[in-house]
Amino acid sequence: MTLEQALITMNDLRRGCCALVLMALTLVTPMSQADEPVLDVAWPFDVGPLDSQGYGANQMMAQAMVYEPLVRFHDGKIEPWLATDWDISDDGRTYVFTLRDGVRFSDGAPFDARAVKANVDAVLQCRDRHDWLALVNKIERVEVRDARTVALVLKTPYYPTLMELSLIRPLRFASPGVLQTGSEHGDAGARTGQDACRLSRPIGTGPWVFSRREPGRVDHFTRNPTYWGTAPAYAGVDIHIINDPNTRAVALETGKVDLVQGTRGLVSSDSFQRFTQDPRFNARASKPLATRTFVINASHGPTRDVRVRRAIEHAIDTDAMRTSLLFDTEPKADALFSSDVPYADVALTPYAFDPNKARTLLDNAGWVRGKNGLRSKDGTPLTLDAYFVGDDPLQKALSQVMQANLADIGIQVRLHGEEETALMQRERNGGFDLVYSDTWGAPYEPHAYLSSMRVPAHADYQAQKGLADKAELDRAIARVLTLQDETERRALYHDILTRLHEAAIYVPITHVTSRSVSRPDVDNVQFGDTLEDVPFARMRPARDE
Amino acid sequence: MSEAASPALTRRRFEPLWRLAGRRLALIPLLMLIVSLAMFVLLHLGRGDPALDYLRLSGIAPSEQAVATVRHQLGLDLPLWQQYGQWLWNALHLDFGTSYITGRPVLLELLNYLPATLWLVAVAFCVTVVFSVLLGVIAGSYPERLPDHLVRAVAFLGVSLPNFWLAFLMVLVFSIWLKWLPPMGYGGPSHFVLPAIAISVMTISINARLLRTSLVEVAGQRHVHYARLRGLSPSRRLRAHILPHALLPLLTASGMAIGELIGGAFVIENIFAWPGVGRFAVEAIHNRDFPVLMCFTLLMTLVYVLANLSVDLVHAWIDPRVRRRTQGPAPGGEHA
Repeated sequence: MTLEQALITMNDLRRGCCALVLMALTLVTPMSQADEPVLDVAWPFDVGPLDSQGYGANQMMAQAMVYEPLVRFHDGKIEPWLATDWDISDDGRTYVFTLRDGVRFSDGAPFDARAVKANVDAVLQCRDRHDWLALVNKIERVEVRDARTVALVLKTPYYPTLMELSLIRPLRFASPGVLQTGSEHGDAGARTGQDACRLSRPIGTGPWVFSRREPGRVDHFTRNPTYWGTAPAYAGVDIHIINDPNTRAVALETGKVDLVQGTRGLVSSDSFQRFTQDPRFNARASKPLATRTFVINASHGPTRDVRVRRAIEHAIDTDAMRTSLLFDTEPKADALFSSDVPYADVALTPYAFDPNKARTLLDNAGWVRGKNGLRSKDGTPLTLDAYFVGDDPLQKALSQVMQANLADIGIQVRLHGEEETALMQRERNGGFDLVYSDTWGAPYEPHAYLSSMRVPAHADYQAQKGLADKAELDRAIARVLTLQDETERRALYHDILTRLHEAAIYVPITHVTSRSVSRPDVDNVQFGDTLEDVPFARMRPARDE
Repeated sequence: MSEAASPALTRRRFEPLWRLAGRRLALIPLLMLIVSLAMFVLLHLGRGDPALDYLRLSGIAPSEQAVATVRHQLGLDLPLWQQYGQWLWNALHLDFGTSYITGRPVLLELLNYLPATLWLVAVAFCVTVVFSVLLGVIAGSYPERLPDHLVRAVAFLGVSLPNFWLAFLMVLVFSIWLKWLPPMGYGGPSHFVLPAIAISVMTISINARLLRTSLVEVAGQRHVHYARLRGLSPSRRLRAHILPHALLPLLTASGMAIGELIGGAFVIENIFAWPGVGRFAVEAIHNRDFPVLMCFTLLMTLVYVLANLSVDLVHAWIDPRVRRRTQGPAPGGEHA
């Protein structure tokens, strides 16, 4: 037997095995779903425990498939979802929601005011783990007014309440029957990882129901037969766990999966560019969802001087980065937030790439170029330490271009690639001159991202604390979050974003987009409104056309 | 003397094998204890904090309060000796805790993934043995001639190619272009072909060269000359007088090869989306998932020790001299 024959025999064997498995599956699958196609998707991790209030291994993309919010963030606006209507009291402290009628959890339990209260109470019971979210700290209590009316009472007014209710976690809703409260496990449970705030089973109201886990291989979801909204066209979604980005590309290429969609390197820039040129695939990028930046530390060293920071802004060739390193797959960023972000459509003059202007600024700041091409002042060389996540090739490449750009105007940059968590620690302590950072994306922008600038654990706080008007800036941020008047709020955001822009703390590079590559048999491929969700329920098999 | 020693030698042929196995097995618990302690110390000496990793994965800002909450939740705020004591006590009851990141029981999770890795390593081990012997014999039978040079070239390439690169190359050729083999996944025999080859090529290359050297060396020994003088055919000489001796170093190398193959599997599992323990462990290392790493290290130590023990037992069974060495010089002088 030749090698080829042997391989063909093995293929036959494999096909035989597959046929047997398929036959077995057909026998146990209801006929209505057996004939309908399933969407095969690649994802780097398994979906995790699928806890509506869980973090860590819980994949937000999958949490969004199973759990739904009271209101959703869509096209930059808040829209009704599980709540059809809401009323905000004049003092901005009470939000009264009217719940959608006829919604049931996939275990048959009704979605009503008691279910809302049970879920929010569970979040409040484990407030510690959710206190990163400002709204959780603002909630005083939840009141059940009647079966379909529920009131959220806040301690103080907080305008982004609806925005934060739309987040994928932790304020979405699981069936009250699966909520496990702290009293059942207590402190000892929490210590051993038997988390007090964990669901016993993933049961939500969403379009998909988690059905089966094949560890390390596939997570299976099926269509929720009792879904209140438009039923998904696919009978199910199979999430194939494929960790390596090149292997995900191969999986698409060989038809093992139909779709790869998401951010954070799910489809590498070079693969994406290749797929856009291949007529066998549909490759698209979403609208801007977040921003890649270098953060300049205004708190110590030469970068305390705004002229040096502005020189850096003018010296970095973000266009070259965009075309050469990102293959034109992401739009150029001119400011910290994309103009699509609420309140961020502020007319700011971008720092154009202009090395000569950068040199002039450094000359004016007293940094004199020496014979070796490097600048110094009073014997102190103009040397900066820049940090990035060491195992992220894109961050490394962007930092290297930045290093070359700054060398061109006489600034020496020492690059340090660090482990992600080590870098997090460094950011907390402010031990950097420059650091690569992504913004958080919708719906955290601008309010939650700006709010975090007041927290010392953030690189942003550390970078800004040297600004003369930092205290004033923080007060403005705190105030804007409580303003009820739209015009006043817009004006204050304008002021905050202008101050940040003029302080030259952030070098915007490009806007992060979600990338989607699909095979032609998937139709109506759409992007979610945030970095994390993928609207599988809206996609449909092409042959349905 | 030799007549008198014969019955004793025959007895020793069986007794020490069990004694050897028994002694080595009895050492395993102590070894595990040492490994667990060393691993615990190393994990806690290292930079970084699992609480920060947890927050990073959760997309939560690492405020002082958030870090303190997670540290308490994960039990990392207890004194180190208490953490280890608690871990050890639970481990003695086969409770290795729950993963910091997934919250699932660690042992169950690892046992879910272990079979896929063990199958892959077992198949790769068989591939390694078969091809090492085949190539080694071809090269050793024609020293300094074309087959030897060809095998040398192949072996040179084999040790020089990084396994992940070779894996992608094979996927391109056999899965994308020729469509003969599945590019990834865990399933029927065809799924094993590419990953098994990818992880075994380097070991095959090393072992084939080792066997070739060993064959050439044994072929020059006096007993082989004598066999030739007795008029035995070349194939008979190879089978009966050269290979049994020449294979011994290969057997020793095979013990080490298991470690190499397991290591190789960790890289290759990512490329072939293989649901093995390697991919899970690499993720755990990245996330400083201490309970997973502790259990994983112990499990791998056990696999490695048992695999090496099996190889040693086979070696001792084939070559009685090994057993004599383990129990000191035999009474009545040296036995050639």
